[in-house]
Amino acid sequence: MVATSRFVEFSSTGQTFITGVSTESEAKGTRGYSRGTSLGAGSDKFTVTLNSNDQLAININGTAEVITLASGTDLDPRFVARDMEYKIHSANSADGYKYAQVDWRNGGYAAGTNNRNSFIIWSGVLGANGGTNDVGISSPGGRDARTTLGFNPPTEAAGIDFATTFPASSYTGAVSVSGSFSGQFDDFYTVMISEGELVEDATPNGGNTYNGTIDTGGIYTGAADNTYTLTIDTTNGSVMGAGSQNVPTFTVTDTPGGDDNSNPIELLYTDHWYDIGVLGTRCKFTDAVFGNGDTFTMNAFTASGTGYPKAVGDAKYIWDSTRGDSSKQIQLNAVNTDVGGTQVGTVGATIGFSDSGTLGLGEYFNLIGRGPQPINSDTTQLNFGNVTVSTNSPVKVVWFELISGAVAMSTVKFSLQADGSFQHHDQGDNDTEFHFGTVGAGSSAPGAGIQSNSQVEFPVDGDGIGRITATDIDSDSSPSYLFATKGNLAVVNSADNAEVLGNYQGAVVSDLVYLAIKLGANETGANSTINYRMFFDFS
Amino acid sequence: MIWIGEREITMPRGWVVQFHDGSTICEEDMSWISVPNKKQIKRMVLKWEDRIWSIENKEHYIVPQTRGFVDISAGGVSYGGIDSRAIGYYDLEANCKVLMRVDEATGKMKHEIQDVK
Repeated sequence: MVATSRFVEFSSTGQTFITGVSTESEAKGTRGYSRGTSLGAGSDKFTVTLNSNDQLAININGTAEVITLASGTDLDPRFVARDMEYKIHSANSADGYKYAQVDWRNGGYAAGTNNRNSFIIWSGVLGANGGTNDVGISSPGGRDARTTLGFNPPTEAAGIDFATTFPASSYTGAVSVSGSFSGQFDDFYTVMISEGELVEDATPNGGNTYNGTIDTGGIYTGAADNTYTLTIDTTNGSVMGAGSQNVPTFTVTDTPGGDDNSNPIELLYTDHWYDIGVLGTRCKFTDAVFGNGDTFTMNAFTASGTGYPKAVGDAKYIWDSTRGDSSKQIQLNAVNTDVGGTQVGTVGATIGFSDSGTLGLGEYFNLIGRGPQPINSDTTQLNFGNVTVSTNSPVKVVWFELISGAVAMSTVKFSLQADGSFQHHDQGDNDTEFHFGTVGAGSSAPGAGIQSNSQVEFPVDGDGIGRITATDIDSDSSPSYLFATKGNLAVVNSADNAEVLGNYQGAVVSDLVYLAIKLGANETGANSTINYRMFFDFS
Repeated sequence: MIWIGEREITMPRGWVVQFHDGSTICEEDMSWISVPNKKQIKRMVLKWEDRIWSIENKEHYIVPQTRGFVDISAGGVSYGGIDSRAIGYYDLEANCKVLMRVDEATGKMKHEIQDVK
């Protein structure tokens, strides 16, 4: 069966956000959530039928709405999560909806904490709000999707105030979140006061069959240092991507203990973050064969530093995000707190601490990033509108995504397959030009370097408004906020000659493509149909 | 006519798996992630019209790969197609994936090696 894919259209002036909105105080507290922990064995694909099981009734932080999901057969859960997220954003302008996020979390199919493959819907607001900042899922009536998506019943919890988690905190100041977020996708950052990283690289057992790469990350919130051992079981399968009940699993033991998990976690996807326990550590694996009994050992540490609590300016912090944008990943030393604001992540967010009180080791703060929102989620044509000769058309922005029938995408390319009835393309007479540009989470614009906070996945201005115009993509020399541009795409017929696109594997989504047309001075006629072609490998 | 085990494969092109018990599942039956008991796969076959390429008795088969394309037009409609299909296995000693890739238009097969990173 062939995979199902689609183009999704965005506005070139779409807006992004970075916020620490909280019912307590900015960046303080955790989010409430609802987790669909009722899925059974083999639940890694979802059939949503129009007018049958395509709605959820949601109540976030006291505001109720009904969302209607995209329908389809055997939908990829990462797509379903993204679709739910966008629908929730659009459902209500309240912050709980506007900044809500939905994750697909790989677990297993045994009951117990963190042991279920499941969707998690997070409130867009931090803090407890007296226990009401939660996410409630109820019946929408006759089109109920709760059972399909594991929310019948869900596991739910309200957010928790910073003051509850850290009752002895001496920090009395206010936190401010600012910056222009240039992420392609939504993300969630946790900033912890510490001068050292918390999660060590994993060490494979010398006798392991697995010869790929394991990455570790997360913000460890345990009360004492802990050593985790992950043990692989290949009873059901030895490679990822083979579907639930056919993939390797891992269990977790730890010393001195407190965060073990004897129920198997399925390794469904390559390059996908898996929770190790419930205290924040995570891991991901590249594509390779696992051996039964392979083990990986990893140390997690509590926050470190001397002389704490410290004043703002002296206290330092590290960070990590849901998508893995972390100070560990870019090997950045801990960052000094600052009243004016300093780097969180690599795509533009900053955090500032007012100079009041002192910051203690292990205290943490949260930021919510929201990427651009689609304007058309199933785009079959791009209409550039009326374009006058010798002028540029408006810029069209799309990405390409797989929604079912495949679990991985690679070698993504883009080309102009046909220039239609235009007569002056590549004719050397004030030619018609087909402009192209790309950037995204797979191939970001590097900004000032790997450790900088100026990397770009979705180019925005100082207010978080998309900034790309046709003149940004009208030459082969790309501006600093795009990964690559082509002033005039040639007509090509093979992937070998097409333009390379990045691909964010965790979401099976291509990078963003920016397109515009400049009609040559001698061009005549109307309604020419040109054709763009996307090449991609999927499995 | 192409027979795999006791089943005639009428699907013109695509992958076929044969299990140790002789049963078969092919690409037109279901998506790869829906195929059950993959550890019991004895043989993996790629069919192109009246030609087949076969890999047998490997311990770790790869997820079948497809190279495809989708069009998006200004003023028209989208269209998709397939450039090539591949089956293969992991070679643990060489730390790579060994693929047999068949061109969708010509039916020509070529071997490919993909490193494990």
